[in-house]
Amino acid sequence: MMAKHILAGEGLMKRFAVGEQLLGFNRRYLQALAGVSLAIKEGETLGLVGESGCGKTTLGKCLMRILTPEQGRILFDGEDITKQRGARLKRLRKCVQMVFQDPYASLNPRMSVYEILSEGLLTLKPLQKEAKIERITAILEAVGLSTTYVDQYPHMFSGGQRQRIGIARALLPHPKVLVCDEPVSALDVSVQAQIIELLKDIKHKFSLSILFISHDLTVVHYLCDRVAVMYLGRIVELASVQSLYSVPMHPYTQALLAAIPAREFSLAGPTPLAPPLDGETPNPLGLSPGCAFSDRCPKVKPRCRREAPELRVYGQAEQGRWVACHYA
Amino acid sequence: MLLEVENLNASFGHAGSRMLAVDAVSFSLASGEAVGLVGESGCGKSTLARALIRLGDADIGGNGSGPARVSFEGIDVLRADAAQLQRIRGGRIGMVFQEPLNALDPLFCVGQQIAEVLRVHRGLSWRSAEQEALKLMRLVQLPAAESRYGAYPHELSGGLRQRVMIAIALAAKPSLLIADEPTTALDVTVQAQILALLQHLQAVMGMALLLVTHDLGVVFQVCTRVLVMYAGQIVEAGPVNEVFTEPLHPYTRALIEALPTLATTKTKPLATIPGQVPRLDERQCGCAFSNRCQQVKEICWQKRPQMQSITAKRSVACWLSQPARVTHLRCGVDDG
Repeated sequence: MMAKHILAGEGLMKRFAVGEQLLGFNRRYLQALAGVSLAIKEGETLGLVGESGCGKTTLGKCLMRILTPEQGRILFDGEDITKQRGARLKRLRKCVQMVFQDPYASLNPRMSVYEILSEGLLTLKPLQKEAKIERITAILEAVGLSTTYVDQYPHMFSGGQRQRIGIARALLPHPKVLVCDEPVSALDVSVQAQIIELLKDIKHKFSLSILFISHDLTVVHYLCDRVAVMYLGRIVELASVQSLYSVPMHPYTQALLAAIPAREFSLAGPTPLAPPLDGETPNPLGLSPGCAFSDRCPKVKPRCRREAPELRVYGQAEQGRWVACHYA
Repeated sequence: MLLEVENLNASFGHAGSRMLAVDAVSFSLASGEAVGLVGESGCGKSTLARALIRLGDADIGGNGSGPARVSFEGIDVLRADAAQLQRIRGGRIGMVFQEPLNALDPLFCVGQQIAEVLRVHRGLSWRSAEQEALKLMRLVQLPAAESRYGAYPHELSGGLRQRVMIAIALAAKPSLLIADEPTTALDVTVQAQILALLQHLQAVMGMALLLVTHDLGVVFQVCTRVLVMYAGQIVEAGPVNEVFTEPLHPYTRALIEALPTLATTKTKPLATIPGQVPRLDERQCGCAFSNRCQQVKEICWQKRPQMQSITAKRSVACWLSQPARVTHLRCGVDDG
């Protein structure tokens, strides 16, 4: 029995105008999402990895309906929510919540913890003050913050505590899906471990499905069930954590994994670092028609420069191993 | 020794509220050696790196146990005059910063910024400086160096900018390169390129490298020796492979255990370090790590441990590693 898809994007396209010209003529567009399909299964943690500028945040925001894709559909629990607005969109907001990367920028410095958290409750049906406080207390406890902090302001907290407040805010409406956009990359290692454990814990407690956006492959390996690898607005590989990390099929995934500095330390010292790739992610403006990775790919063949590979399934469809490479 | 640091304190603020960012730090660096300085944000590692060449606005001084001393190639850096300091900064000691876009001048093309160093420190004419700058750009493997000479920083990608920064830092053939989080702002595939470049250049030019970073993996990959910093103090020092496989200080061990690896099993929770780094303006008298340490003892709250040699190459500032001294001191406390 396959788990059902709780939140899914189908053929999402999104582009941003850059360098606006007079009266909007001759505009150039940056293709942030070039036809991306991605589905989060109920109860799973899906990792979304890629380097900066590959479109992973844009994809997260499109799935949340913070950004509107130009093409494609978004399905929540089987229902098309691409065009929803007003009260129905508000109801959707309760079900899909987001945790942001920078705990310093995502909390209003002029609001106390109580105000930050109760603001999120406004969208729910009006609650009595006591009920509100009760709910906030319960959430603060769930994220491991003392309730004595409710009247304090964000600047009085450390990065890890702020991220806990951000997580509490996202949990308040009892969402079904949590989109976490690099929630631990601004944190130190010791605090990062605390937040990772907290995410695991609340996922279980609140029966959440999580989209975990990150550039840190080791964190994704630890936390996620499946991983999608993005490169320049496309998903190039999608597989379970076990199969992707043991046998990466796309050359870009292989390069990403080879570039992680050693994390397992041995007395014998490190294996010498061989940079797996030359060059850097090309400018997403003006891409060639072929595979977006062809300029850097160590295994490039003429066909790669001519036609862009489709995301194709390998093995059994239920196992869900997808790779976009002609020669995988 | 190329660089010797003793009793270095660096603090911010005024008499009323002092933030001691670097607290009685002593260490030394041999020529040609690659040393990593690791610690979490706010532990004072960048302040320490900058204090070595008197950059930044921290007040630098000694502590109770003696005056501060930074000796580099026999020059007393803390008492050096402007001319000596000028020769050291960018001349004998090169520095690479975390964010190359902030460190490069947006109004000059990158080639000129490299050539400027050559004119100041090696007294070259503009024409020969340009030739040398092009050589340096090729040395740091900047693709299409000739056409990039006239490029402005904003026209280059993050990795290329960092290569320009490295070219500037190396222009005067320094004997020490200080790299402060040189790859933190970069993507992982580009980080691998820059680290390999730094390693290659260090070997080719025979210079010492002080690599400041929060990433233990990067240190393990590039350095032979490591200094672990916590709350302004160096708490452990030794060869990287020994320190990372058999850490002596509970903080070092906790840091390593908190790091998820590809071998970590998902069912076992990651080790976390409870609590937070102490604030810099409220130092307790005992060990700075005592309020987060799992193995804390009575002595840890009362007296601050000093760095003690454990083997020829390793030292640690922790009472747990000094059993003989602990009993002795505990008696002392009881008597008092």
